[in-house]
Amino acid sequence: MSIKQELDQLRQRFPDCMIAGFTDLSTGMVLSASHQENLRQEHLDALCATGADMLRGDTSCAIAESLSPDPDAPIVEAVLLNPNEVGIFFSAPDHGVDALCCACTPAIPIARFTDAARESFMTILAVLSERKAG
Amino acid sequence: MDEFSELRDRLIALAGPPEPHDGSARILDVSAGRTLQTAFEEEIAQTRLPRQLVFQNSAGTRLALSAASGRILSLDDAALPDDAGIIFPLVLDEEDAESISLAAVLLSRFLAEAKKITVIAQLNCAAQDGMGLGISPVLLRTRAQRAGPETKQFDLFLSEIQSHCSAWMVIRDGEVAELEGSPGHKARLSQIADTLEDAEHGDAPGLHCVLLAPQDSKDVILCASETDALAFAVVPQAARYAMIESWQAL
Repeated sequence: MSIKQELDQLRQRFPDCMIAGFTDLSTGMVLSASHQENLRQEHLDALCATGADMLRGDTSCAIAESLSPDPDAPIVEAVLLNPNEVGIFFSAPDHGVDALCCACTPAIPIARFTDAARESFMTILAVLSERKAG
Repeated sequence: MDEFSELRDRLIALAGPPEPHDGSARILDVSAGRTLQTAFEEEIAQTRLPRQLVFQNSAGTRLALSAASGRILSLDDAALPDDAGIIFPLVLDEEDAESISLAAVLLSRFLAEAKKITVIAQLNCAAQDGMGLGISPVLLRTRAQRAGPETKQFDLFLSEIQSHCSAWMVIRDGEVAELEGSPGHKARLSQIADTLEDAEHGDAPGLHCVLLAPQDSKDVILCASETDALAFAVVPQAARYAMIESWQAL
């Protein structure tokens, strides 16, 4: 299964997920995305930038440092509730640069969606790992 | 003529003559402005006044003002903003009739355009003296915001986290206003507060709620914000979604 197909499946299960993008936090690039038609690239870029700030920003790093037993542990999950949009972000453990950035409507069932999205993200990471190994 | 006076003269020309006030703007004329200040005198006296106010209009122009003197500390756009109202707090000298008159004119425009202007930072303060006419409307506007639905949502959320979380911290106007909970978690929250101060995170406006989950941690941090306040709570991993869903439900 391709990354795009995995992301498409996630969005099919959760129609309130408007964008699901697999991104590289180090470059700020969206590598693969599933979204509605007519989405502007700027929106994807902004989502990726928000994800990078949430997961690897100065404040996030300081919070991770203060809370985790491992001072170098990164933030691996972030949820940003805005009045009109919910951003949900996952990063690969162990300081990986891969991330899944999702933009959802406020109606998204957060607990169920984050479980499913995290599962999709781990599937994508496993596929990539297999490809590299192969 | 010094730079301030020159700028003020340019603003007088820009603002034009006073306009008739409607009911909501009646508080903006000079006499009512004084009355208003008197009515709020005790409340204002108990309020920690901001040292600096930063405004941003819809065009993205940022203006930082000294609350004590009303002088411009920084203006990131070389051109004067089209919205004259944004400049009203320049005029703070109660002894200067012309200044007060100008304040009334500009303030009326400021409030008329209030939806286009966001108070994006109110830094800490101590200046109790030097408080002129201009500070009252700023405080009033802030109070009006704090009475709005966003504030209610924020305050309700504070009640929630105080009932369910092991520790919480509230930062208002850039200072820690509340810090409660278990000693270990309080220390961690203090550490976060220090970091925020360093990073000047008072620039984040609006109403948000953020959940951050570090790797290998038993707890997550939940941060809720409104325009001039931030709340941080330490939440057990298992309860994190319940808490943010309660935020959504408020």
